[in-house]
Amino acid sequence: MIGIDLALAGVAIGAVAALAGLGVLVTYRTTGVFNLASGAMAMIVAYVLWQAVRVWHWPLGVAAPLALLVVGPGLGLIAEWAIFRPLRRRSATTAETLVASTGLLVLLLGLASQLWGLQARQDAPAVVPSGAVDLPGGATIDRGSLAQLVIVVVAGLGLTVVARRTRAGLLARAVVDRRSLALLSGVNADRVAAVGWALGGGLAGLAGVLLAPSTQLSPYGLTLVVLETLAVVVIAKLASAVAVVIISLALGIGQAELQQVQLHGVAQTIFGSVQSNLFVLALLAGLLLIPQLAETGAGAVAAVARRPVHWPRWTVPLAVLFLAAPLFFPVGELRTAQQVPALALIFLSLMLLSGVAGQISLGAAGYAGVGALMTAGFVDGAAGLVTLPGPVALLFGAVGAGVLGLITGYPALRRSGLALALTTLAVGTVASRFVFEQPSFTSGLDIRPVVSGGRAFYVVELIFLLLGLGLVELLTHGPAGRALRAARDSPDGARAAGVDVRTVTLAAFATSAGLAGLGGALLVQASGAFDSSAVNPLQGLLWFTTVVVAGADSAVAAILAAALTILIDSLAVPGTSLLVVGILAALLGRLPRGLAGLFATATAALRRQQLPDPDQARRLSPRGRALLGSLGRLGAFR
Amino acid sequence: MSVLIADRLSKRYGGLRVLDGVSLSAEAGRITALIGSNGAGKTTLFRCLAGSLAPDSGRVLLEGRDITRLPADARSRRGLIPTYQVGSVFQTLTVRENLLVSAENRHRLSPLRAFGGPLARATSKRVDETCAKLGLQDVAETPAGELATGTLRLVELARALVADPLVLLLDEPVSGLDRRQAGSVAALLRSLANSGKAVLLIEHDPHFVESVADDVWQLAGGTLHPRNESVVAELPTSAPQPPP
Repeated sequence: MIGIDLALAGVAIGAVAALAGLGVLVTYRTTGVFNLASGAMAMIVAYVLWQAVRVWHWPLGVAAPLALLVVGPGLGLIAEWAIFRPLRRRSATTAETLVASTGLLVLLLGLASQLWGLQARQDAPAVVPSGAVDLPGGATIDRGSLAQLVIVVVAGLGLTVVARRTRAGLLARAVVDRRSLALLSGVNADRVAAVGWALGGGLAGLAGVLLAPSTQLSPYGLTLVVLETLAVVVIAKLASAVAVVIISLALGIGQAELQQVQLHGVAQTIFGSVQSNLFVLALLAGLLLIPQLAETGAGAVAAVARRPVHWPRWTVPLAVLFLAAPLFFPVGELRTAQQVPALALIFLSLMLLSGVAGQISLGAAGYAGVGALMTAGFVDGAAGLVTLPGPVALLFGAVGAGVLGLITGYPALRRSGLALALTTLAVGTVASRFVFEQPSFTSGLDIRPVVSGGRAFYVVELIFLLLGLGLVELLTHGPAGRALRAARDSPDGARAAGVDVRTVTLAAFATSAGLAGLGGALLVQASGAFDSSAVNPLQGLLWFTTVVVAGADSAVAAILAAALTILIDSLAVPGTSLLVVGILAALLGRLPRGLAGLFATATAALRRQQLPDPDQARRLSPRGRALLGSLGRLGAFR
Repeated sequence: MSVLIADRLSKRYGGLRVLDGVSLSAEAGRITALIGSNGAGKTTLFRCLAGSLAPDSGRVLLEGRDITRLPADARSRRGLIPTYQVGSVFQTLTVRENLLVSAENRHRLSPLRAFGGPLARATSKRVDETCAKLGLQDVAETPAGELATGTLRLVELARALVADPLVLLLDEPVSGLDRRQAGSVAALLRSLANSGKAVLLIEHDPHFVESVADDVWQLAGGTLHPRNESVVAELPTSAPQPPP
């Protein structure tokens, strides 16, 4: 039976999802960029309003228009101008813009955690006054919900009319279809993109401000909630504004109506999770079941897949020194250092999957969490698992995560680019919601150390890191590595060359998931407790961005990035590494190969400087020239 | 002897019947060419043979064995090796690595061999010889992405040859090449055929077909017609002109 009151309550949820969805849709339809950062934009606008009203005590009548009409659209405009315009000008691929949008998300998260801290605020100001409005038939609807519904319907219809009936909509479609042709016909593509981003930012901000009072206002919390509403855009096949509104309202009302259903015991627990995570499940189901979506935003993953940077030999002892130094730290300070090999393993797993195999994976946190839980279970003998000695439990945990990787790798065989990124993100989110945040899996979980003693544990970590490194090196440089890179560069060509693309891709997924699971288990061991927020879906996104920024195709870069991330966060305010990674990711348009590429360019330039200048050589005496010549022949300047 | 046989292949896209019971065979030691105007279904037939597209009905036989249900990579390991019209060269790998991938995957990569170990000397030698045969030795260590189109076509051909194919399937092998390069490709194909390979090529350049093919078939309206008389006189010339 449909409860009218519940349905009306669901309208509020649906309306906000629709606004966030419309924002993403507008940006996508005008620029071709799927804005994963929309959640973070929403969060920033909500924080600005909170700051103005609660801290500076501005009247809501001034603060709200400022936040909604200036800050939101302004954020969109700045993002377009600073990050996406340079990418568009050099015809960056879908994957590159996707990485840039994850970078923007990380940057905004870092900014918010620096400015407002990571704690949740309960006093976000409401822009729509609460109170009930009587409807004919005896039902009542919250005034806020009613206002939201009106806004959404107006926005949805307005956008549809603009897209279908006006010159501006026509120009926008022309620019997205074929930018070069549109430019030749005199369309100002930059202006179209700017309008798209401003509208996208404005709508995201509106969604954030409307959501903040009912959920809690925190950098991660609000961003995640808005991120889940991406489901509606995906199911609407990134096409129709009206579809976005209808799907959002249907999901919102569906979610509210499901509250009526009461089951017992475990069934109720599962059903409860389904009900409260309907949007995430819809996202995953949409991505897996709607065949056209497999092609969504497909494109080469050139953003992360390039020829490996050749690191100078001396960087290897440097990395070893970095990793060995903590063995001489006082035990009390070892705890921070213990996170480095763990994180390095996770980064290596992403380097293998993204850098070598060219698959975008935003779900690493899911594998890390599963590895951690399984390891803890094996050490403890919990949940019917056999009790195993520590290091063996770690291996079994990694294998468990690897099996999950194998299963979730299947969808990846038919997906690429945006569809794959979203699928992995959805898998990570489902793992987080249905496992990591469920008390039945995590409450009373005792994280018993795999070995006793901080130093001994660090040594075990280093051994596993070395093993992981060896595995990745073999997979990167041997025949398997060549086959993986061949499949990445051209799947058709690889099949023509006899490469079983399906098997090598699945093997890469499984190995990568296993390494991430191992890293996750070590990370949880290092912190001594299982914290679901350490493996939340945004964390996976952050890890992926860090690896890309560091130079996705290099193991040394992955290890150094892990060390630097931990170092920055232990020396500065927690969350500073977010800001650093975010800034670097935003610069990716200008620094296409990340830090590793920058490093390679710098050392190459340095080497060029050391070479004898031909003019200078001409000024040398005949004997000097002869000496220089013989040194040159010996290869001294190479 | 017919090495590759297409037996009554049919394929339709929606209401459009692109292949209507096409039968064709490629003989060892002969160059078979397939011509047809744009949209005649040449590429569809090619993909059905290579295994990247499943026909609605009909069979593909390689050395008498039915391979219709085998995926493209398995067909390649059995010796039916295609080269594609749009670049399927591995851009970030060097020319030598491009060839190595093909040489290493002639047989299914076993987990043991996948991790490397010393390169089999024979594999390495084979790659070097193929590079030399196609004049690629000077660019062997260059990433393929840095090469010109003409050279890329040669790399693709070399990649197919290094795996010692039974049947070489070529989709417009000389598009993007100048006359001189096309001439050397023709000579190479002839020497391959003379060494007992079957070569099946799809081409819209009638001059090239005239100069190289032993048997010519024309695909029109979804069916195949044998054409052993001169094709140049009848087909509109749409061949790319060599650069001045």
